Amino acid sequence: MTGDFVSRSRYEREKAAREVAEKLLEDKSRELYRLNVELQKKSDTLSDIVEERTRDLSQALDAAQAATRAKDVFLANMSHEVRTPVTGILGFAHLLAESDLRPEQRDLLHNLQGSCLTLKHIIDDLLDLKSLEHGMMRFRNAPFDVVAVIESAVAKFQEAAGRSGNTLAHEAASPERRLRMGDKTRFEQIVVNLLTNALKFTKDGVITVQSSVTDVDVTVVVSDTGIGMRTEHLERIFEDFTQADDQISQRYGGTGLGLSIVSMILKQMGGHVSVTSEVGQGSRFTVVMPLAVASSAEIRAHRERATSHIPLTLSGRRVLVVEDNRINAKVIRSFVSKFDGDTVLAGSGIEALGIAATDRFDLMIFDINMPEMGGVELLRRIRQSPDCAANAKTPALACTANAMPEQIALYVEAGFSGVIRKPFDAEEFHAGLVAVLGAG
Amino acid sequence: MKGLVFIELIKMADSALGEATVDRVLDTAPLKSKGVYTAVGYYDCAELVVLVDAFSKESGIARPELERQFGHWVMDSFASGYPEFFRKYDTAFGMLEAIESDIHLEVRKLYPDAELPSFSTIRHSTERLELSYKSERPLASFCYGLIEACFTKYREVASVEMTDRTTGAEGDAVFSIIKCKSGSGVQE
Repeated sequence: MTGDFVSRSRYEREKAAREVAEKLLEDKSRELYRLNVELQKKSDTLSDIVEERTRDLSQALDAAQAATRAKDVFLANMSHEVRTPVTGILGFAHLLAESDLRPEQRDLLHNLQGSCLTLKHIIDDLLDLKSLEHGMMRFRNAPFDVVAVIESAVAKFQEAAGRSGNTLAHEAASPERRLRMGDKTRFEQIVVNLLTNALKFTKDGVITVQSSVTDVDVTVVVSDTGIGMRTEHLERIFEDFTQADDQISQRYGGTGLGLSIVSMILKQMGGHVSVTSEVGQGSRFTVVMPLAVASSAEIRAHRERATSHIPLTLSGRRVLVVEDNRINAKVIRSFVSKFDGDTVLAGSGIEALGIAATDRFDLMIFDINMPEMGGVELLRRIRQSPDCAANAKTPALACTANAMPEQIALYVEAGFSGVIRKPFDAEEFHAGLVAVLGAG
Repeated sequence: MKGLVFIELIKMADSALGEATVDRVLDTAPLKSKGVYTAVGYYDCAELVVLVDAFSKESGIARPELERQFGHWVMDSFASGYPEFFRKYDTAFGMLEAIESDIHLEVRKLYPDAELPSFSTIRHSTERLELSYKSERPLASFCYGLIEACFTKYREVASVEMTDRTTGAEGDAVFSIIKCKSGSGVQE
């Protein structure tokens, strides 16, 4: 045998090995084919399952979106239905307060107004929450005195604190009073909500507001010696409609929105809130807000803008008020009179069209939800009808209990120069007039 | 046992004893397979023992030494066939410690029916490793050769002391390994 040849026996073994290997390969190929078929079946089944799940999820999403829309509609309707009568109560209470009353009558009226304002704040909270959720809350940026706002809020709560046996005080870390750029209303809302919360859960204790400032931010700490909370509840208290536990609402009242609003406002302002608490010892809420010191140029610019709006009078001006609710119509007329204006009242859109065709007005104030013809349609007709040409450019204010942010945006788009949200007080009514008529 | 091991043994015997001797052994040895092996098939491990004994007789090399040499041969073959496994580890200790957790895992993916020995290691220090070998086959010396060759692959020097506790047909041994010199990585 030479190196170029192999023995017969080796050849036979190699041949046999090759046949075995080929058979093994064939078997493996068949097995692979079989597995591939099975895999394909599973893949088809999986596609069906994924398709079915996707369909289920899509239906669930549609249902959830429908539920959210239904919730929004319900909230809008409820808001409207509650605001309408509260407008009448608050309006007349305000006008009554300006009349001669005996001290005991004034005290009763004061309580009535307080209860009504509480109701108004609850509705406002719901609206604020919706605005914040949809990112529709607008923040003003004007100079304001942080310490003055805190002290004013503390002063408002002194009486309530005294009634529940609490002492309430503000401690400023430094005497610094430089004005800050930001939204005064929202800052006040944060302080008020934290104080409301502290007062609700503290009896015969101590509530302290501490404030400190740097050039760029303001820290406010509201601490109390109230009932406190367990650690596991701390994370939930900034969620909507959530209180530390279900019994809190029954024992202490409240909607569970105050802290949620604080948290959301701060989030949109770029600030944050934190809390520490111990059961039986009390709670300590710390908020940090980016409120930079206002420059002298900013203060000057704002002062010029602000003074240009005040004072305002409607003396010698004729105002067309269209309102189907007789009580609210009286309230609006009373407020117009308060600014020395003359009111012509219409109880419906149709009646108003007739009046607008024969008379010229300096201002029109329309309710939005009215039977037969709503405020938006009425304005459109007045603007377009040749019969009403005299009022084609008369500024118009919507006065409505439809106070959802997207609704207000719609009215502005429809041509209203401003919106007065029901219920309103004299200051809010004045602000609405100023927005439309400007100074003087 | 995987046919690949038989093929490697025959290759080693071919190179050491010549094809004629190997053919004679395969023709005459009591082998159920008649010496027909494929790398992808499975064969009775007893045939490997028969072949090792036969090649031992033909070469005059004692069976444990022949097994040890076969360990070296197989390690070289693994290293050239699967260099990526060796590159994953910087040292022979790293490689030996990964046999059970890493290499056997990959082997089982390729050959789900493979019957693999078990290796457990204890690292007593950076220089000292204890490796326990247990198998259904009595191939402790083969394992010894694999360990030695592993250090050669990583250009390291180690003293390997085997305590063979094999009784009967199952392999059982403990290797006490002391690294004497670090290497410079795996040989390519």
